[in-house]
Amino acid sequence: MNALTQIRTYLLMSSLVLTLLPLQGLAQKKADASRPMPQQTPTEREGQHDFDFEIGTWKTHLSRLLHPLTGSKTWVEYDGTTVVRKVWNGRANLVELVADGSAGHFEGLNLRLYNPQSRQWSLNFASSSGGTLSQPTIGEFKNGRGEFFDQETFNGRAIFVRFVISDITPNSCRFEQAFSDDGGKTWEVNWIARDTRIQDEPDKARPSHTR
Amino acid sequence: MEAEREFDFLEGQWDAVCRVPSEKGWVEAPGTLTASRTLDGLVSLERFEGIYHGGALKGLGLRAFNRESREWEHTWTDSLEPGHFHLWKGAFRDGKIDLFAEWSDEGGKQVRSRLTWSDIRADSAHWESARSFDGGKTWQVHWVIDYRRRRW
Repeated sequence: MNALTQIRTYLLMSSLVLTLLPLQGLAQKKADASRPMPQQTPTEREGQHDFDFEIGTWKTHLSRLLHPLTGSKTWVEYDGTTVVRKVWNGRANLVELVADGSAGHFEGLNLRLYNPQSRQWSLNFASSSGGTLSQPTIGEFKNGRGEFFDQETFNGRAIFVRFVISDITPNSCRFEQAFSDDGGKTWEVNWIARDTRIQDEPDKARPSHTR
Repeated sequence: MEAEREFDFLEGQWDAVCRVPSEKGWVEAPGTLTASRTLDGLVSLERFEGIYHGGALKGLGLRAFNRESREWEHTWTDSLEPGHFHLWKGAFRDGKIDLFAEWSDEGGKQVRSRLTWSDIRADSAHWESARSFDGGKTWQVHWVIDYRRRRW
């Protein structure tokens, strides 16, 4: 199934079958499965503006585990720039990351889509080398921390993917991706990005002349 | 190479590493440049986006080869200092070009400006902007950009 079909299917499914999302299984709330479908619990907050903090231009330091789930501890470092733009007046946003490091040039894209029915975001990632959107991680923000999950196949094994956005301040934030191949008992972190905002306002000390 | 084709190399999309001097030494920031030729290929237009001393900068550069003077003419404006058009002129020598302009600043002081393109290769190029306040005897480099052609 191609990525677009997956998304379309997801959008359809999620509006109808809230509780069957893969995320819910991970959340280890068995009781939820019997919950009447369209009902929203007080914990499901409006999340439409949860990514507003990130709109703008950021300096990114990225650490990436080269070979996840192999026991390898080889990390590579990249430095680059992240630009986050609003799409559909904020109901979605698009992240562009361009970075360079010892392992080469890296270009990534992340399309975040908000589902107003489930009040969840889906994070759809693509790298310039892959050429397609990957399976989205799905989740939401709680107490200033975003957690997003999905199940996918990695090197032939079914794994859980967890993506966490944390340490959010007006000018910095942290992103972490981890894989689990034991059903969520243990997690191996394989991606850590730290973003620092590049100010749009001129530095006070900046010489005004560009000529 | 025909003189009026000497800036063709710039056409396309480039990733930029920009350096500006500060009290703490040289500060590095990213940028991008997209150049295209227009008016039947006779005029070269560049759009720059990047960071200048911590502030976001968008700039527009325009250049063309003047067949009478046999020199390249370049002008530039940007979002930090809109307007302020000057005319830089120069010619390629040994694969490198210095473009010069001169004006007086707000205090009436004569400023000489030099823009240099050098180390021009298929996928990379070096650019520097320098100023002189003593008629060209000494120069202060205030902006250095290394370009690498974008491949995607």
